[in-house]
Amino acid sequence: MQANEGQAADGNSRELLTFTLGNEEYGIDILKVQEIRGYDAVTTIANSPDFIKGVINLRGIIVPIVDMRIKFKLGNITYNELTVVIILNVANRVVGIVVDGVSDVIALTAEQLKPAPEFSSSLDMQYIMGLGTVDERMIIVMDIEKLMISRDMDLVEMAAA
Amino acid sequence: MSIDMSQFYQVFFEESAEHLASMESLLLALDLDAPDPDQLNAIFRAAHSIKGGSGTFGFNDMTEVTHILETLLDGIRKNEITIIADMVDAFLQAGDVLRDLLEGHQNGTIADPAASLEIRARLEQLTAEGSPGQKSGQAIAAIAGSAAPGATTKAPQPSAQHRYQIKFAKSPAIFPKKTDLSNLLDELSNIGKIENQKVAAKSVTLSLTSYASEAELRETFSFFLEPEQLTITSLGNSIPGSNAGSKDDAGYGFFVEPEAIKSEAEEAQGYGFFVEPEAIKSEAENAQGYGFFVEPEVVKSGVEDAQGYGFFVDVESKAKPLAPAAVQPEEPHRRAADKAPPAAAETSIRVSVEKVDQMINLVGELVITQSMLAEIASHLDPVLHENLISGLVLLERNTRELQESVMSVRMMPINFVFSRFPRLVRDLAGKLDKKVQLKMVGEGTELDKGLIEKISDPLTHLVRNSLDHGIEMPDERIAKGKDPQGTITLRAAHQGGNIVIQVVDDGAGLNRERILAKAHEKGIPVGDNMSDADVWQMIFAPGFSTAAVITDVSGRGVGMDVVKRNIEGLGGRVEIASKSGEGSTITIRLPLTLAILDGLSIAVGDQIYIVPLSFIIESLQPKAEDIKEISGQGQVIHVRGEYLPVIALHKVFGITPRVANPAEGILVLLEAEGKKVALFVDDLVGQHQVVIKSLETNYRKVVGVSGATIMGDGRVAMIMDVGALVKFAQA
Repeated sequence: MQANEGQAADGNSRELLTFTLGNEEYGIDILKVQEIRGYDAVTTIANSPDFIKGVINLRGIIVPIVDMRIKFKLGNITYNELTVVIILNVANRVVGIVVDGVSDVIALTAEQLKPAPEFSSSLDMQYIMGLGTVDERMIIVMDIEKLMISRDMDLVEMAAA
Repeated sequence: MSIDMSQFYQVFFEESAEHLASMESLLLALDLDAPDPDQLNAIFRAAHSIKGGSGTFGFNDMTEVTHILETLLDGIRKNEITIIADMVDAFLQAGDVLRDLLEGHQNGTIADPAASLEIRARLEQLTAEGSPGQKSGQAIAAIAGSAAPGATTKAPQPSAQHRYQIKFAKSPAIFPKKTDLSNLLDELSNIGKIENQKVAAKSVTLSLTSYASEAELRETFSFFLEPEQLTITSLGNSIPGSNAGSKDDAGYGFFVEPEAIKSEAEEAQGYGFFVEPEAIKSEAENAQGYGFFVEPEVVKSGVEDAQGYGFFVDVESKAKPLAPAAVQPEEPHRRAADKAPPAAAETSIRVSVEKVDQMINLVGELVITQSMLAEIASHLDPVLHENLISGLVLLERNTRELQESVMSVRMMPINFVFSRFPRLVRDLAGKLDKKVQLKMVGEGTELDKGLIEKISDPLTHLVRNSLDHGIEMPDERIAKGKDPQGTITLRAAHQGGNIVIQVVDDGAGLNRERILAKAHEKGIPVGDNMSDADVWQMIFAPGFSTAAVITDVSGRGVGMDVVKRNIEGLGGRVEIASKSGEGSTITIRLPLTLAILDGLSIAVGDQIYIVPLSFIIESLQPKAEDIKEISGQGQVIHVRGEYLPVIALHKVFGITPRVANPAEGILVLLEAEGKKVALFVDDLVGQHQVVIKSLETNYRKVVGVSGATIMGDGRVAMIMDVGALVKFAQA
């Protein structure tokens, strides 16, 4: 871990926060992560897609919560005191995502990151930056910012196109 | 000694803009037949302050215009020149020119000098015309003498550079430190270009090319030198005896050209006033003595007497103490100062809106935290926690007061918008050959600054419309048996949590037939039995204008739709009432502030929603027999002779309700966009003042929801968009 962190600073590698959705492990750029908190007191938004759970009050800021498990049809959709929300800071917005669990912070060098082969995934290929291998685990590295502002997520007001 | 004056520029710009605005409003309020001396004094002071400030900061183009303006104004306020309508026009025009010049300096661009030359020529002409016809007196002669020659020589070259040969004494007594001399030279190089600088043992000679007048140069030196230790010779235009002139110069009139001074001095000497050169010199010292360290702010403030005789002393006011008849009584001065709004500025500070908004946000958080604590405390045993609970009660009161006072910081009187209309109406009425008087009621009504900025354009549009379309031509009005002079009334008042602004005219009123014909032409479905209110609403349709002739004032049919959209965007409503031949009233209703809202919280299923109180007519528990089914149309409720559509909120928002039958729940009667509906909800929870939070910051717009807020328990509650709900009912 120590060595990894040292490496992170030199710019060749990137630090990722990894989380699980069902049996898959995903990694997102840790710099996009603002904090991790529990799931509670969500106010639903009328007539919104089912994966948008609603909004929460995060110290006075209204933050929408997206359940990635519903969006990507992965994992057990239950809400309890162990349900984890990752608060992201992407594209000048604050958005929370619900995941099955947060596992680790890892550093991944450019060599460790392999381009993803064409495969059938619930996650569109354009949001996958590559696949990383750490300790025999495969991590799907996600471009979380691109995903969050995409039309798929319906989180951002789309210009009338 | 070299001070970077640019750091004070912003203050000067803001203050000058204020002075110009107050000058304009005073001019418009002036009764030409019997001008109020207090008002004249206030106008004079405004011009004077601008002149003083612009002189200090070296904006000579402004100084030159204000100087002539001030000369004429001074003549008027001393009853030496009779004010005529033409002068007021010229003053207003001068105000515009000054505003352009000011903007030019502010943006670092150069305003068109032609406009400034033109207005100066016009003012000079008025001064010349106004003065000789009056009763002759020494002071008058002095004024006429001072203004006219200065004018003729200045006009062709408004801000030409002058060349000066400057020689001054140098000794350890004068410049105790080496840096003192270099400071002086620094300052000179700020003013202009120094050439041929020679520093001898006892004197320094240099030539300077500068825009500054000789008087201004003397001012610079006077920090260091006695006037007699300094010789300034103007090389640009050789004037015989300019030395003598400049000696007087320091004494009276820093911004007066040497020619003017000279002639003034001659006049004065002719009457035996300034016979002794020593006397003049001592005058100069006195003036400098108490004028010098006066900050521009102080000069601007209500200390009129000090101002009058202090730093920016000019020919007229200097002559005044010598002519006892002209001395102004003390008392009107003070009253005038009370009247003039900018005089109050000394007790205020300028704070950026961002800082205020940040405070408002923080207080909003505090209120939420406080209600959270109150919520928790309500579950505690009041006997065991008596002290805690009484502390919380105190906290609640303090937070509420704090919130109120912070909110009031953002509140501004609507006069900030209204004040532009006297000018607009005057100009426009002149252009259209109509006679119109503008009445304003409730200018002191306060509303949020953000709203003030956004309301001004729609309101301008409405006033122009009233003037152009509403008020008839004078002969037409006489034919109708009305006063040839039309009246437009602007009225503002608080009504509950709203501010109501009305634009009322006593003109022709809206023409029902013409609107219907136009609507028909445009293919808008109309029926002859439409209610008036529905017909009037049609003028808000895009591209709708019934004006017979398109003028440059209005009639292109862009606008009313924009007005409506803007006002609805602010959470407000526009209503029209009109009676043919008697005029129209357009009523704008706006929330007092965009940040806080009075709302009723209602429950549907496990959700809480906030309904803005301003839309609610009443809430009731319906009787089962009042609710009627209309096949395929849903339900209606019979309330006091009216049938209103019932909207079930749980259906609109897709929530599982606790009660499905309206007879078991609560109906909230809402009114928006001229329509009434009954909203069926599970229960009423309570009334709150909520802090509005935008959903769009991190999410997007949601249909049926205008925003969100945070409740006492920390949860988020949606604020309903009643307008959208009503539209939903119609669909």
